[in-house]
Amino acid sequence: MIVQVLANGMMLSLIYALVAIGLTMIYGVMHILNWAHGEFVMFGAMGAFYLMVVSKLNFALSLVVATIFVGLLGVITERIVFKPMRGLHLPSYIMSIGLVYVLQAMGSFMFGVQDKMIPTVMPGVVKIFGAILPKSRVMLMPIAAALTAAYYFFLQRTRYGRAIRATSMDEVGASLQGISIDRCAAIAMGSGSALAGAAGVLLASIVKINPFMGEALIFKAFIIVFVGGRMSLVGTIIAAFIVGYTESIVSVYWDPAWIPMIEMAVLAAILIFRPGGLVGIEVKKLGAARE
Amino acid sequence: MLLEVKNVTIQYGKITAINDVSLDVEKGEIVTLIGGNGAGKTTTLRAVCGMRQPVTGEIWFEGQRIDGLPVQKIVQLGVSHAPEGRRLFDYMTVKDTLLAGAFLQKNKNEIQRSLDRVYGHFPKLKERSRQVACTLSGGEQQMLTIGRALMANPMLLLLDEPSLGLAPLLTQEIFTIIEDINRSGVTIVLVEQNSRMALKVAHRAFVLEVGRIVLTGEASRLLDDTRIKAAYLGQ
Repeated sequence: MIVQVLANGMMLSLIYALVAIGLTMIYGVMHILNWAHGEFVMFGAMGAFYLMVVSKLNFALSLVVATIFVGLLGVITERIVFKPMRGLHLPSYIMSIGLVYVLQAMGSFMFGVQDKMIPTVMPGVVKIFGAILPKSRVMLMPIAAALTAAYYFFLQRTRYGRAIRATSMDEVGASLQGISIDRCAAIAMGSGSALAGAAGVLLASIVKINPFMGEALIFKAFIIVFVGGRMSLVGTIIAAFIVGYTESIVSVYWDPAWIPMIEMAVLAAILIFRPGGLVGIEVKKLGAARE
Repeated sequence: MLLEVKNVTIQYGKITAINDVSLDVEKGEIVTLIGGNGAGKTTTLRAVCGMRQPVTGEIWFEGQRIDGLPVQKIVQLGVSHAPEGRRLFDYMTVKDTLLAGAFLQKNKNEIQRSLDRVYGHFPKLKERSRQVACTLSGGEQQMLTIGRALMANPMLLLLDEPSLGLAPLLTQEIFTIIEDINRSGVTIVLVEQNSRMALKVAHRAFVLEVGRIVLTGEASRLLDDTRIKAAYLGQ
């Protein structure tokens, strides 16, 4: 039982981390609370369904194609919806809420509103320390962990990763180094959405999916972002693990109905003691950066 | 002539920050802009690096007109700016900050050479290369700001108040390094409140008062000018 709880918690945590990292990047670079981020997860999941069931692609290929597709969708959204609103907090906030409904409607039109499932990716079970776990769940973990690690590497070690971090910390300082804020916004939004898309594909392999699945996720993702601390990848990952494990423990030892309340209580407690988030980078200079 | 600012006027809303300012900088010089608060020194630098667009006037760099160009393009042409308020990336390490300063440079060997050069000017930055910017002392942060600007291998370096908030000894150290940087071939425009120090290191100076240039000349002459002494040197 314990092993099962641990494994499930790990799986949930890794998927939440993927969703929240994207959101954190978008917030950090563009200062936009993108409520439609959950819909990008949904498009990833629906994309996987379409690719696997209709186009008969295998899971690995579907993951790649759906991730790239959702990433491009993110870039297009940034250009059309968010770029004209740059620096306008309330309008961009409202736009992102509007986007939720637009994308849900698009999802409903394209894929229908019924619950769907993709074919089992890997049949069979594995035994780990006496616990029986389906292979298709176990295989998610290395994939999600590898994506997270790759993103961390991108941010820390590459030219554009540094540019994105710089932009999130001081836009004026970044632009004086010849960094294009426009391009960084597109890359942050594209890569963040792509991670959401990948998380959607992984989710599709373990739960039923529908065009409204993003709604439940977005609240969790925002909680993780703010508990983690702004623009802190490490903080975001730790917060994702707190949420993932709370969920898996509560659902096994208590009742899944309590999950949202307990999660909120745990996270509120953390924010009371560390208002800046676990890895506390204060939200500073946001106003000054736009003078 | 490396830099020419011709009759530039800049307004913030309806307020005129600088009015009909003209100045020129020769290759290899240190030119300083001095003047009181609100005289328009910072605005002049912002105009040169493209952060502010002039309402009227022209700015030329190396025979090319640069007013109206985006900041990025101007950085690419060889103008780097260590801005007012430092504008550092608080949670980035010293080394990453310097690498971000070399953003437009894609050749790895070139970047390494720039890094060695900056560490040569500022050995302290090398010692602290793995520390994040917001944990540095004020002097070290100023060094990092200048170092970051140098990473782009600029022809022209704009320095806005490098001595702000620093103890006299550190100010002295920073100014010595500024002279070294200049001797290594970088032309410098220096904006300073500390007029005495600025006039000592500069070749020429422009004095700004409420948005206009009121006096210009060789720095060593201005240091002895009675008006300057009375207004800016406290004598």
